[in-house]
Amino acid sequence: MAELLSQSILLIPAFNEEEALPPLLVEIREHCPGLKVVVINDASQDRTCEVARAGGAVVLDLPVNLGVAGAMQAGFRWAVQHGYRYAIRCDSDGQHPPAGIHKLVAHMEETGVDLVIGSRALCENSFSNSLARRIGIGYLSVFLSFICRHKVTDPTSGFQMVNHLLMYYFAHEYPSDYPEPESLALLRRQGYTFSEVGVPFRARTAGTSSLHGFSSLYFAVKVTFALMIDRARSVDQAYSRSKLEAKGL
Amino acid sequence: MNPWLSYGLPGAVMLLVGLVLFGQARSVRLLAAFFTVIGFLLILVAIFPGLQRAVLPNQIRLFMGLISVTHLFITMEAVRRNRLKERYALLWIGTGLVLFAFAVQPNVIAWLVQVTGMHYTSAIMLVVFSFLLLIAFHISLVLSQYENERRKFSQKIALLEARIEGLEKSERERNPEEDQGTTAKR
Repeated sequence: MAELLSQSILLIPAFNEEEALPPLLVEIREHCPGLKVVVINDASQDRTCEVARAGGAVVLDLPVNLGVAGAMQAGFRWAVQHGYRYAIRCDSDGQHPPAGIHKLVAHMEETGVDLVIGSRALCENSFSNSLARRIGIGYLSVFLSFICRHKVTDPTSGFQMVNHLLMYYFAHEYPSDYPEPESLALLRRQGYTFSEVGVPFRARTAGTSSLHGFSSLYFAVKVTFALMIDRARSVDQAYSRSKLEAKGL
Repeated sequence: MNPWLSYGLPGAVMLLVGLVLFGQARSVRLLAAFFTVIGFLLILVAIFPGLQRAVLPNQIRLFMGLISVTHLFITMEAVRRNRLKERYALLWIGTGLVLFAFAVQPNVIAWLVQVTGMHYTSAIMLVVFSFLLLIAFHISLVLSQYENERRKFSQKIALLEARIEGLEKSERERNPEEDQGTTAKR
């Protein structure tokens, strides 16, 4: 457990999060002392960058806004360059409690899968969302489970931990529109495995969700469409799990 | 219809606009010359009834020819002045050439009119529209490619910046005195 954590890097994509970031960084230090943190500043207009540096994090300062997928990919590239074995992703808005990191790490150690996802649906006392959003997410998880041939309960969760193989793959190719659900479908086609573990999510401490009411249903439609287009695409076999393993990564 | 009203008046207006524009910035000089020439030609048509008899049945063709020649000229100028890359100019030049061909050789468009059952002008519009669609599609392709490249560039810049910061920090830790010296000098 401690060994896995010492080989891990925590990636936090942040866009205009000067308020939520400092308490989060403090909390991370409390729960996981010694865990190295990289904040990817997605061209914020506020003081996110300074706040992250003051909090003791390494900062990747993107010159233009790339969205969460582009920011995460920058983080994965950094992690690959610096030889980390595991990368944990945690959102900067305070939704993902740092205490849950231990759950992800323990689950990774236990199952040995390539990707561990923190799921709010598998946890009873988790913060729950509006009805429209639950319908949208519920439908998406059924659809995504069907595509992946593997049960998915929280298709949009960004609380994840990947191993070095998947980190390498994502550093080179990462879906740019809806990274969480799309990457799940993608990695299954390349022979990678994933598993979910229940983590209690919190209400975000700052900002509002981009998904509420009607727009969450619209989101489900857009993601369905993106997933179907992804199915029609061919995958780059050079990054399949067996190929990367054969390369001795 | 009074030829002075239908040709003379617009001709005079264009001539005036052309002459005024010509004295302004250099960038619009091309447009100004175009306006002046057209205005002059229109006034000529208004003056000579013989010209009117020649122009009337071929109005659309003349108009198209004029537009395509101007279009070709502007495109070539833009390429020559390095304002437009050749590979983006190809489709534009293609459009201009096809329009020009229709103007000098009406048989082609007459054939299109027969096959599709459209009017002459609609047939031309169809051709122009299909070319514009092609160009718009080409631009979206290029844009998507640029977006991919932009993503890679930004990520690389961010990684390099973080690396420089790391190097500077370790340098400072190794040589704290020297660093203080340079700060004092600054």
